[in-house]
Amino acid sequence: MSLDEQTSKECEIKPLQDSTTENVRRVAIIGSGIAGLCAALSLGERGVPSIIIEKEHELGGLCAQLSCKGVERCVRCDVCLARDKIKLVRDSPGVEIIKDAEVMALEGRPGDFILRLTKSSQLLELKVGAVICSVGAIPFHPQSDRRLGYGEVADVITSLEMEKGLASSGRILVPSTAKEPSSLAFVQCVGSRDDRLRASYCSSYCCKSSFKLAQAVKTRVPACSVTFFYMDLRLQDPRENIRLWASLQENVELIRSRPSEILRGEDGRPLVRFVREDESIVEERSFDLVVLATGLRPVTNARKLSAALGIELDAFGFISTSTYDRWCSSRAGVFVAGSCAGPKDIVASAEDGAAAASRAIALLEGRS
Amino acid sequence: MSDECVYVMVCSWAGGERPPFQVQELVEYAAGLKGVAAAFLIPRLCKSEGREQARALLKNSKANRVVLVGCHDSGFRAEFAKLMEGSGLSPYGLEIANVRELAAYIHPPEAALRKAKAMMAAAVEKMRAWNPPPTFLEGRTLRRVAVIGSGLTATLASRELVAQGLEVEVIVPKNQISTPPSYIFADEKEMKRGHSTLKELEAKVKVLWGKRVIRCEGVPGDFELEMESAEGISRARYGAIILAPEPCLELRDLEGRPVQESRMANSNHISIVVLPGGRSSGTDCSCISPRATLFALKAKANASNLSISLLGRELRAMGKMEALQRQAQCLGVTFYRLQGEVHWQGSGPYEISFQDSLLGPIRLKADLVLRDSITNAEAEELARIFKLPLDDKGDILRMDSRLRPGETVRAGILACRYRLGNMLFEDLEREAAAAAARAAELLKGNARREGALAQVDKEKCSACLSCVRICPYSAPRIGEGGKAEVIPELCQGCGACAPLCPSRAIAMHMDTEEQIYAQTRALLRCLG
Repeated sequence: MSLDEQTSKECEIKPLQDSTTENVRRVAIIGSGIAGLCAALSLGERGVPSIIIEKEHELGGLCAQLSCKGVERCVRCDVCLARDKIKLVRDSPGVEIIKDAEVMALEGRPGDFILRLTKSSQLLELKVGAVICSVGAIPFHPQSDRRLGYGEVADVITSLEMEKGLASSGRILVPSTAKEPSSLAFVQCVGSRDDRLRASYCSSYCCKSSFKLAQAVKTRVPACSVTFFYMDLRLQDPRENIRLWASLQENVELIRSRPSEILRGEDGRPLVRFVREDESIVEERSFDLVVLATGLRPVTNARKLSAALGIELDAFGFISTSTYDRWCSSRAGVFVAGSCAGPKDIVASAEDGAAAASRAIALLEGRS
Repeated sequence: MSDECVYVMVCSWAGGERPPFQVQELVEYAAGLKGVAAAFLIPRLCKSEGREQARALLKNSKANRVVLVGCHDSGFRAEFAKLMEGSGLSPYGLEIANVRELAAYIHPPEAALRKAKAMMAAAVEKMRAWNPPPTFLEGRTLRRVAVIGSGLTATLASRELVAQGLEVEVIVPKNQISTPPSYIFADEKEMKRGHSTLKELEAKVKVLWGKRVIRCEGVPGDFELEMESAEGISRARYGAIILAPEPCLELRDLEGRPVQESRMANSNHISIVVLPGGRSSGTDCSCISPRATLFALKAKANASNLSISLLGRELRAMGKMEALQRQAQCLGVTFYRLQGEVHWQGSGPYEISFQDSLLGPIRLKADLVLRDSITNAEAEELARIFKLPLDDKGDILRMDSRLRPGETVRAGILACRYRLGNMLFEDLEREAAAAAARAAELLKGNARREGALAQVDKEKCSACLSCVRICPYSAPRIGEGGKAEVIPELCQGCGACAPLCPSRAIAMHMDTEEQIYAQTRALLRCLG
């Protein structure tokens, strides 16, 4: 094969030879985030070919946009590991990748499906034995919560924007001044634990992620003060101790409060208005930079996808899983992995990928 | 020294930065070095285009070892080694000269170039002195997995393994599987699923009751477990092992006894207070956990005259479990946000006093006081027998740092972790599924064993046992003839044994003395 042919990892759709068994020995994986990547790798390790269908032009989903948050030492944010999976998948001979493609319909039966896609207005058909839906979740749009001033008050950013900035420049900068902040606030539970916004669930990853971002801030900009506005501390891993860390730092304050508003202060900097849990006085404090820890929501085309695949959504719009198995959708042969079934962190999504791959294999080999 | 054929690949630094010297000069210098068959300039070796070019150059070439000249290693080595393997070279025949950070960034241009040349020459000499280690030994792979544990996690793991077509034996140290409490299940359907899995266990897999593992030897694909029971000692062989130590999931009273759920439905009026686990417990010590909330929900639903109060500093419930507190509140469960310590007096009924962050000082009377702690004595024992480290919360250390679900530091031995997330059935299921998936991956086909990274020269060995004692992977042992030998499949190449050996009998196949001398001589020659 010439170098050109080798370079492109995108496949032309080769017609599958009819296998001698009844089931088509190939799994379609929809979405190339951490769950989908781990599913593909797990299938590959067990000798089952897969084909990843990705809507965007880049692989890796949300994880690929995040940044390493360690400086002197690893803070176990798992981002580098997620990125490693992208490289591993690219080098995996058993995994084909189709980018810029969207799923249109799924026909057939478990073990013998036809998956229809569009890619640059071309219609494609894939013969697969099982489907793993791992389309992930998207960050909540903070414009939907007007109180928080996103888009109206300068220097109010989302945690994802901070991650992207860190990933590209390695620095934490206030957008309007292009300088490092001397005071920074994290506001947790933005778009989570909120009935008004129809997101009464907990997004699971944000306390842990903001803690690691806070550690990154204090290491890169030691003089910056950090204020953490939270409802409950849900750090997932009992080995993480934010209170201990905060007590050892200069100028880190943890305030149990859900800020009521973020306004433009007189000096042009964002002003956070809040009440502490044990007092009835309204406090106002200005910061150079306010970071909104946005929660996770179902992807925008969730309904379209559910119609295309013939699977149901739950009350929040995430993909509904069967009562008999946490990784099965409502349709036989279509499995679910990652945060598209409900918000979770990188580790849980990776484990989901492996679990969904197991179910796909059990189906293909006639054991389910 | 085998017939060395070194390829040197110099990264051209393309992409934003300008190198302080002409990289082409490095390429020309490399081409003139002894043993170098060819030298290339490749743009951006770390990106896929660069890698593809490298791959194309290596395939069907005579190269059998490579020197990369560019920047630091950082994970790139493993990738490139794989690339070399795919092109027919040994993945160990690679040396990386970091001329960016160790020369270009820190010296003025002329000195930097001189140093870069010297580093490159040294790397080439080192690779010329290299011998490919024996690798890829094929061995036996038993498609049988041992699951060790006495509770639901072990049962879930065995169910997963059966679905993957593997033979499973569950080794239960007790004489029965412990039934989990109802409050680890989020709803009825989960409970049904959990209980039916327990019921079907013996129908699907072989269970070895009352057996305790006392020794584990062997290699991934072929482990031998020695077990003791009332009937004596027995042995069995397995391809992989899943450790599923069952935590004690019940809430416990102040004497440490697990609470009887049935007891509460029968009494006239009981008031219960649930305290967080405390610093010595296994949980996040200060929170109201989803388990405690579910306990309260179920107890209240069964007996509405119960008065239940939950105390904690944080209210924990990730994901969709968030709704639990609301449900519990609607049923009349009281939540207190604890500030500081809890004090109690009496021995049933008790008087509890503490500070709530909003309401101030509170005094409660309670017939029953429970602690929400998770302990797992089984984990400690298993860690000891399988020579696995524990993390600082007393759980078997898992390689989370590599995002390899289920893996421990020992290849082929997997573990289910219990202390995470909501600590409910959902999390046990996920752990079991991940470990089982990894076991299935490991046992697919023949276990490929890379090894022979440390080797003992028996002539020099004085059988002092230093290497046997230091090795974290139990790779060296005294073989026939009374001399030490390293089991290739177990050696991870960490190098702890080699410098320790007083007889200097152990050589690492990477970075041998000969290689280091060759490297140093070359450096001195260039710089002297």
